[in-house]
Amino acid sequence: MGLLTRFIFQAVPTLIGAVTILFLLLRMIPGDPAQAMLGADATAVDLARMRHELGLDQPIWVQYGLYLRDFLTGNWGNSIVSKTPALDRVLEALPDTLMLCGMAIVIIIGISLPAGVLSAVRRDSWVDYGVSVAVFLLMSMPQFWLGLLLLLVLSYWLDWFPIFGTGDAGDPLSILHHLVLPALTLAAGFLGLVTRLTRSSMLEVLGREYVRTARAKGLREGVVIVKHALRNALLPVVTVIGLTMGQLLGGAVIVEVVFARAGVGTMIWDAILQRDYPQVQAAVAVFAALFITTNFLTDLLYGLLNPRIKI
Amino acid sequence: MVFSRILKSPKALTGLVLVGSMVLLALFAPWIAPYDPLAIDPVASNQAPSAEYWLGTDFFGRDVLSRMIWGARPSLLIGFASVFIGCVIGSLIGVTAGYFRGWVDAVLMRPVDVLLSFPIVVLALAMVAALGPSLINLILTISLLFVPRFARVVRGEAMALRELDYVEAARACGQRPFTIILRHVLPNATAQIIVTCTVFMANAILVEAGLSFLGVGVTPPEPSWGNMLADGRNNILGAPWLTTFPGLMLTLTLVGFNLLGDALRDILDPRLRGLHN
Amino acid sequence: MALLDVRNLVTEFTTPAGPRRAVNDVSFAVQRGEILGLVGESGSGKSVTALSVMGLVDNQVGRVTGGNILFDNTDLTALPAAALRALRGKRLSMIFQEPLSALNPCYTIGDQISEAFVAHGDSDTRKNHQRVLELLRLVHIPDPEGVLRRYPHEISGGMRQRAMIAMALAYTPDLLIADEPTTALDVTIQAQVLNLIDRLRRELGLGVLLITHDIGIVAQYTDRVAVMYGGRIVETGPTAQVFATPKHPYTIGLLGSVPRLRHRKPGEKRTRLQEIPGSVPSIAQVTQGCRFAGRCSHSMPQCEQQMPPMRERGPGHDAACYWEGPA
Repeated sequence: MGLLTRFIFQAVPTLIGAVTILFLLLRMIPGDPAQAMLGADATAVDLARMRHELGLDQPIWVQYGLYLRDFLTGNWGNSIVSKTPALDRVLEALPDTLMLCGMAIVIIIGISLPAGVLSAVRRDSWVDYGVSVAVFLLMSMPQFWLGLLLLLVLSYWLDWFPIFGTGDAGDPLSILHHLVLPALTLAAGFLGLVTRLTRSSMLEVLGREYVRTARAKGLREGVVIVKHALRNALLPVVTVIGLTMGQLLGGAVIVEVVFARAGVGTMIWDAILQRDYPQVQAAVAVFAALFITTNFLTDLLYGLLNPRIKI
Repeated sequence: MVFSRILKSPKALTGLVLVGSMVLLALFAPWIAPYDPLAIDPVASNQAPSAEYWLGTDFFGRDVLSRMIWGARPSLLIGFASVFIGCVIGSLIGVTAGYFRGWVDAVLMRPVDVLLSFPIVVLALAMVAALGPSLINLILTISLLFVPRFARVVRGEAMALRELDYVEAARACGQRPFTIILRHVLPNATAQIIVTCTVFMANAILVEAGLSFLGVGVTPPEPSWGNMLADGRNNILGAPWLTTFPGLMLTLTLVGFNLLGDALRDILDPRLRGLHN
Repeated sequence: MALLDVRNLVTEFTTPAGPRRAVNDVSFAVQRGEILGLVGESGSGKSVTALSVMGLVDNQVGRVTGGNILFDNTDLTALPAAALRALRGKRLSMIFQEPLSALNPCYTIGDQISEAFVAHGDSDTRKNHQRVLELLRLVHIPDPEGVLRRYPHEISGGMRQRAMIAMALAYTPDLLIADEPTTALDVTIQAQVLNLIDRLRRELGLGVLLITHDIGIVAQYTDRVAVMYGGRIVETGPTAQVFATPKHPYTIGLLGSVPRLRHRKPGEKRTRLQEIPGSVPSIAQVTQGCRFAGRCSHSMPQCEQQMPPMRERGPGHDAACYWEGPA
């Protein structure tokens, strides 16, 4: 099957499903949706016009049809607070969030892979036990607590890192400096998952016959481990890292709030507290779309890495 | 037999002790807590830990230790209730989809896949925003998060079990599908379900704390670990004890459930050893 | 001077009950240009013996704890890891039972063969490409250019095993260890692969340690044979002689369990396939005496007490048994 057909048959229906759930959620808001969308200070005329625009005077399936049409044509409504198109605001805030998630992925790969490989190669040694305990604590520590602790110790007490914000827009170093703690916090929970998986996957692969063949060829142990074992062990790990990317978006909400960073996460939070429903809807829809796309790309990447699977 | 093995595993025992103490704290909060968790005392605002207030006080002069002990209640209640609901509904969906396969599977699993296409926190936020914060709504929201996750796990199990000889034998004897599911498939998926429940308890409590931290979960002044941490964030430098202790409680609870889940998986399902960790 | 001289080799496995000997006091020698067959049931310690020689026993599982492995007068057991590694794949090669799992699914055949050159310091890509092509031709792979670019799962089992052999021959080793090289293959392909090994032995003067449980293969291809049972060699000698006059009851049983194709005279009763009653004891069981005693129809009281030592029964033909043999 072609790439495009696969995308259309797998990812698009899920996306439409996700949008449908958003539609249902919007209908579940207690009270008048028009009131909710326009805010408390709306006039009666505005309300009536909004009801008509939203098609609230129509049967529910017609409303759903209109909603889908608007969604597909990119007509996602205006933010109640800023009165500007909700989608534009999301797209504006998106780069910051993506940068945060990207940095977190870099940290996850940079720490989890070596740690997992090391604890598999040195199985049952103190390194292995140390890694498992660390992994366990990281997995059990809530991100918002870890973030607050890092802030308290490294930013307030030791003054090593800035306290909030995203940094000066033109200065990459400042941006990076602001990014370290949030990205570390976001990465923490997933570090454990990926390290554990790398370890168990490596252990399984190290027992395979082709690893023995590689040694029989006279390859150095480092080459055996990286080229022959890790290459094969990576297959399941890549899948999980890919799925993690989607989950990172969820984590970004909390991390952005803790570190007071401007991003889609903070936007969702603000919008919910301000009952800015069109904004919530736009941001959540974009997250769902990103989530579905990364999962789809993960599938593709898995196929690329595994010569036994033909794409 | 399983019980004696739990007692022999240091992992399981540690987990059991941690979870047990939290449950006891929640049950006996009124008798254990030294102060009224809601009692405001403007004179004692933001006091550091002392002999009088072991873990200090918050901005309103409320005793942190007492609030922390009472905070175990919403966490555990919401955790247990939502995992229970999510488990019952999710397992039924999963077992039906996995047993019947075909169009039943397709019809049941499509919405499940859609629900799984939202990051957990984002869907929870959107739902709570739509429903409005209340204890019941929190439980409903968090259960809905776990329905698709239970359904996935149990479906996989059911698909494997339906191929087993005794299930086929039961089918050949003309037993009705639902009898087979209830008598033969579900009981054999129990181990997997119990392990999943334990691990999801940790996740549910974490989601509740996250929502409360974001201000859409348990509403103040009612104490919960999450909203205490939100208070702590507002005065992180002036009252670091507000940040430290509730977070520690929350982490200990999560460590407890995770340890228990790990140990149960090793004990109940040797097949999975090394596979999932 | 033997090419490979293994003396009193002991390899122990770590088990929950403590260390257990998977290879127990094993001695044998392989000359240049000779095929020695190491034969026995699964679990008899043949493969562990081979891995011990290669220094490839997984240290999580067990390790060599006694004896010497003299390869061209160098004791491999005393060699530092790096020096042993430098020998592996160059002078000491091994091919494995199941080529599909012994080849890495993520790399092409060409990659995996030329890697043997890179491992020993020859990293000229173009030259290696030529050498790989030569090797593939040497092992009679049709369309070597095409096979080079294929992944293991894309070629047939016979081709895979030939590729394995090509890989093992990268540097024309002195010793080739072949661990059940044909078990996973069809009968016709089996013969082709074994004939190939036999031809290479003659043309290149390799010493070959051929591990198998197939008595027919031993009879047809080996010069000498060593029979293993329960981690020990119980009988060894020139193949023809051992087959003609087996001395150890286990060897007799092993030879008897092979169905022979011959004409039955009209009216002659069909003889039942002779099998050895019982099964191979697990290495977890520790015994003082002969491990075969429990299944042996000639066992005597002393068999349970003490392991019978190797005794010469003919020129170069030894057996470890108290029993004097069939009259």
